Amino acid sequence: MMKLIKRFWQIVSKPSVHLSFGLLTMGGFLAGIIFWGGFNTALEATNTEEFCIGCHEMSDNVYVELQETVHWQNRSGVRATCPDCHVPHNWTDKIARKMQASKEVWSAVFGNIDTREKFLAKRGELAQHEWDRFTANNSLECKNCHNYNSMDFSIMSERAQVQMKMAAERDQSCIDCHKGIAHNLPDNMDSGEGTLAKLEALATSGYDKGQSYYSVRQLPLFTDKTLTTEAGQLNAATKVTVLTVEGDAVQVEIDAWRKTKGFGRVMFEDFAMNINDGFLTKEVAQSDDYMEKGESKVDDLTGLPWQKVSVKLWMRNSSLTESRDTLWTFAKTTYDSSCSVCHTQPAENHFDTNTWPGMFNGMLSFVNLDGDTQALVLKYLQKHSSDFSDEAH
Amino acid sequence: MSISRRSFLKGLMATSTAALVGPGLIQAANAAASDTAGQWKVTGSHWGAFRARVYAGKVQEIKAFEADKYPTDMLKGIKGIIYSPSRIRYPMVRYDWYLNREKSDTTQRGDNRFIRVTWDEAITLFHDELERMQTQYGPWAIHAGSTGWRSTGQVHSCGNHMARAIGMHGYTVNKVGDYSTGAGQTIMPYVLGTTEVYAQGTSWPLILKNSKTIVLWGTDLAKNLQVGWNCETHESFEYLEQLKEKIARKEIRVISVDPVKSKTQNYLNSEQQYINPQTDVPFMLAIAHTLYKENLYDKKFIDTYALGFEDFVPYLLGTTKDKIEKTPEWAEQICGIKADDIREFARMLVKERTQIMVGWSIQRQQHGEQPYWMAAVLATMLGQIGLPGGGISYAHHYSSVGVSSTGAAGPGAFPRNPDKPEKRIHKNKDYKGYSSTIPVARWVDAILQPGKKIQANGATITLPDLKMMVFSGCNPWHHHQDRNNMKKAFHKLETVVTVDFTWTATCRFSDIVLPACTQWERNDLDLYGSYSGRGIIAMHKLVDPLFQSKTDFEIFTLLARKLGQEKDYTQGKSEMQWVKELYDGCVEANKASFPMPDFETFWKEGFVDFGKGKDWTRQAAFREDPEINSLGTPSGFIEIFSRKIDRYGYKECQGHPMWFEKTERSHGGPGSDKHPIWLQSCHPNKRLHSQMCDSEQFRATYAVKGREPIYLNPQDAKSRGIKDGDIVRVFNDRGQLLAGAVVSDNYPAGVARIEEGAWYGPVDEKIGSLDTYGDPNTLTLDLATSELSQATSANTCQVQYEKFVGKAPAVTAFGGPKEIS
Amino acid sequence: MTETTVSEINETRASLYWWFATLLTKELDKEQLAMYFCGEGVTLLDQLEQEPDFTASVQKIKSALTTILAMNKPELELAADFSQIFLTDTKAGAPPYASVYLSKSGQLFEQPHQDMIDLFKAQGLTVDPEFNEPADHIAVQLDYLGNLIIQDVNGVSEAQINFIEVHILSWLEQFVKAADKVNNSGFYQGVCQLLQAYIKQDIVAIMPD
Repeated sequence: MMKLIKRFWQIVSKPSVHLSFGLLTMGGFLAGIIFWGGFNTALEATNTEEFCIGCHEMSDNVYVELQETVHWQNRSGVRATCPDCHVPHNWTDKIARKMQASKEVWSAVFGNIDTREKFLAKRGELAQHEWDRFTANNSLECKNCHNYNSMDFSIMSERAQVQMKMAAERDQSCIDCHKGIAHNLPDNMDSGEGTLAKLEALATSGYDKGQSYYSVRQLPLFTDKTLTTEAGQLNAATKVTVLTVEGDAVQVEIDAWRKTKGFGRVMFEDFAMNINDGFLTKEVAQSDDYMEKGESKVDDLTGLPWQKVSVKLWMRNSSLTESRDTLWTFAKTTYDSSCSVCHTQPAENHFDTNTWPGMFNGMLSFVNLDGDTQALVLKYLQKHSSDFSDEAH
Repeated sequence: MSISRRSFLKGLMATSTAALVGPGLIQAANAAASDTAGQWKVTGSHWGAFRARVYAGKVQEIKAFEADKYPTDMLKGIKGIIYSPSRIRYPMVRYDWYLNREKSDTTQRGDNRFIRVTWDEAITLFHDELERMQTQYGPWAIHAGSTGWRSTGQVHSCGNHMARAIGMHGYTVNKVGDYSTGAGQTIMPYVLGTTEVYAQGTSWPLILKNSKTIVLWGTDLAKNLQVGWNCETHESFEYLEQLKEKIARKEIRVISVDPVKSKTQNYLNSEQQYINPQTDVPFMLAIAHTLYKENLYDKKFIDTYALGFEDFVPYLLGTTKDKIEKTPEWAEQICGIKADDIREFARMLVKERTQIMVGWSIQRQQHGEQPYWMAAVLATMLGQIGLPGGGISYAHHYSSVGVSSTGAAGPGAFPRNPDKPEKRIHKNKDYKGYSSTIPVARWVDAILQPGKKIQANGATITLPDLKMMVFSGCNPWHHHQDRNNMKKAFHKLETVVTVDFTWTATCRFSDIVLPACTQWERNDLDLYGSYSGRGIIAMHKLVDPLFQSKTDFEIFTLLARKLGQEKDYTQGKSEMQWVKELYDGCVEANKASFPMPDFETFWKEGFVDFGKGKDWTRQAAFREDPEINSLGTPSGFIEIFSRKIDRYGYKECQGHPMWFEKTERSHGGPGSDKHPIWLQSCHPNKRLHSQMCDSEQFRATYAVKGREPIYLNPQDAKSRGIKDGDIVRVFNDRGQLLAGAVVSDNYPAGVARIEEGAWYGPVDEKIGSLDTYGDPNTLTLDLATSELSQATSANTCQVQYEKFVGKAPAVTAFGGPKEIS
Repeated sequence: MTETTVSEINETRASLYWWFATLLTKELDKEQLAMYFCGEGVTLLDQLEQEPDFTASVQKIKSALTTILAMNKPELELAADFSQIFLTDTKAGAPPYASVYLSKSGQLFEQPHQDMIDLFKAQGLTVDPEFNEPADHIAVQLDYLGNLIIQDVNGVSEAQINFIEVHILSWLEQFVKAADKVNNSGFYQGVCQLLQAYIKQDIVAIMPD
């Protein structure tokens, strides 16, 4: 008996770098669970950059990558270090985080990410783990420095403005869009916008004055040719007539109808047809400077007053195409292939124009189309609905 | 051991038996694998994801997928599906049809006399019939559009296979809508702008945090959340558990508006507001009347977000045609709730944050559009639509709705549509004036009354003269109403083809029956978590297809081969190549947001988890900006009055929600003198519709004397001399069935329940014959909800029942050689 | 009997079991059926009929054959009978699998099937994949029994007796009863009864005193 115990102790007390690292950390947790105060102190000690890069898995991989990013070096001179982003600033969250980290600690102990290759192979999983945490706490650490309330939208680019305002309204989690901001993305992931590129490929270039074109996707509109003041957004597959071409900008005319309940911000393709052509900002919609108002009449099926308008605004000199046919082909292919996951797939002409938005929204749960494609497919369905189809049904 | 039948026979050629003996069935085995314990594989199902240990070519044991913390009991029934003695083992053709084809004696359908044919012959017959239909009649004669809860897996999605292969041959009649939500999905786009029944709902954490009152209107979450449209992983149950705790701590009030004490109510230990069956609308109208009269409704919300309230109020006040003011006193007479209690209920709704959750049961009855519409009007009057934990939802009992969505893309599916429509063999699109698409529940009417014109959702439908039905993974002899009426209809059909893995009643009433394998005999993949989009699950083939069964992919590839278009059908890809293609498509769609491992890694690991989604509030965007984020209604606003519907000029669905008396109704309603009991046929607790009813051992856990249970009120049972465990004959003028009595306090007087999906097993094929197992649709009424949806009205059903005396006939639905007495 | 050697008896026994196996494997085609109207089948049935224990069942078979002969397509009629009894499901028929009768679950591929697989495995055997039926199918069992007999053609092995008792007699009666419930020409009901009668006689004959 004595012999056995002695041998046991010999094994356990044998010095080993890896083992002692693991035991230290795990031991700290155990102690922490038993003695609250002690745990807190131990935690503070591990809350430093030195601790993080103490293992080469961190220092050789993510730490060097950080040094290439704006979070390391920037005009303001403020640097984000590991714990700024990866250890919550709130005490209770901190404990939770430490407990989760045990998994990575174990990895270090058992050496399954001890080479660059192994680390890269596992990066997806580790990254997902972090993203999940950011998603769960709504990117709390990011917002310690980057607060929606203190953002100056006016200095942002046009696309960024639209996106950031939308995100701010919903207090969206930063990581939803900004994955890979401080470290490289996992290998099988790039930040390319697949469908967007496909849609852009449908655009023609060089637009002529007086000609009509169609937008290949949702596009920002501006009040001025310098494209600085936002005026709204043009929907996909919307007809515009080019009035002026000036460098990067074109002035376009949009012939549309709008409902005059509310601010009249939404433009529709035709009277009493809920085919969305885009929307205007409240200021533009309420101003007479950008539009000519035409006839007004009441849609009998809803009782809502409609007004014909001709809107003149500026947009970027790109992303337009001469005919809707290619857009419709793309939309039809998408509808045929993406939307056959559920019970049945209604024919385009099974519903009328104004029924499709409701039906289409109901179909979106299991198909994953980005906003541009959704808008395009919906317009395709509406323009091929029973209102436009001669085929008996 | 050496095998000698063949060589032995050679020496025996002279003797008489030699010529009568065929070749042997046993042969020497290849070097046997030394596997002794078997292998664990992962797969999925509507009932949940699970791991299965496969040994010696057989599924030995099943355990829930580790991520599923609340697995359903029904996993115990899986093995019983695979190894059910009801499996279809070979391609079979109804004997008289085999002899006489379209001139066969169709009254024999259901007599179980079949003949085995080879796959080659079966596919030839199938193809020849399609060909005959297209040439002799036209696309209007074939209905190949009905679908049901196919097995899970996106490559073998059986409806897609049927549609694609048959679509490569020619056009057919199709359907719109389904048996679960026909009325709801048609009315709600007019009112709230989407089907609502298939829409994601406000996330549970927000409800748990913000709601003070939750009204469960005819919905049984704990029962129905057990199954999911995709691979279910039961995340919702975590929230039900939290809800139960909050109720116990009196932080949330949950009230079920229901005639029956539901499984959910019993689980949550929550409150019930009893209501007479089918009278939800009078109750709701009286609530609205109270809110209006006591000035408790949100005028500002109505002004900003809704249209037509002023056109509805006169009806409420009784100044329109019917001259009836919808007071609580008026409603009390119909719905059985005291007028003062109605007022109290109305005041409670406005007091604090109230989430109304409506189930599907109340729209599966005559005028099922009305309670759905009226509930939306109530929610509009409360003004909480778009607030976290407030407003209304119609799907929180379904497929993990309410578990926040990850936003990750799921896998696509095997293509439903032919890639090259120009190669379609029969291009004839002439429906001879008949409609090419019909409301799903009206096909039996079409067979019985071809050419009849009906109104449906603003259109006039001319019912086609159907001659041939093709079903795949679809059991209308469970889900359609009124069996005896169906028998009459089937006498008129020339040809019925069914693809399934088990001998459903639909197979019995078919002419050509093709054996598919179960979903566990093929490789596939699926989304798990349904609406939460939680991850992707690999569906490893557990065992090879049993007997002569084939995968849906193989079956319809054979049909395509007959059309000379095999390659166009498969795109030259094998089953596994399709699995990989769908997976890779998913990786591509997710690459900007969710990294996924390569296919080989995924297939080995068995799943990819996308983590938890972000909490979300239904209609919050609309509430925030109703102009930009307008609803999908004609006006973009909530439509309390729908001019569009009003213009249709329908009798039973007019411009605003109304109360219509039912053709039959309990508690003093029409027909209740003769048949006093309301028969509720809700979704089963221990099945997915009719799926798993054939799982023998599992069925034995709930069947009563081998019959489907009928749940009875104690006084009703006592007055008829019925005790728990007795066999009961249930009947009305439409049919009769036997069921096993379960007497329970959960059921009020005048109410009985037989869960739908109980397999139909008539004594014989004759019209009116007694159903031996207890399929409630033997008794239900095949009547459209209204001219708007033309949906099923299964929950409008009055019956009478009595103790069955004498020797009960054996159950024929599945049977088994054991005598049941 | 002086002329008959043990091996000849065994050869007959085996061929009869194989004959039953053949009848229960699949439907008879036109040519095969013809042999029961005028040919070797008639001779065999006549011979069997003389044995008092077999008379009733053989007569059932013969009367069924007469009925069928009167039909338009006798081979199809008989095929439909076969399907009705053995191929559809347990509702009205008699699935030819031991598992259905012997297991508590009433399911296919239960322990009796595993027992057969194990038995086969031990001897390096397997069911012909073309047949693709569970190993506890009656025809597979009868085929195997024939092989057991021939393997020990000059005697009667313990294994043989054991196999009949454990693997066949354990469920044969229920199976035959189930088949009897089906109402059609009666051919296969007769075959099943004949098999039962034959095997009962056989087991008595080969049992050591």
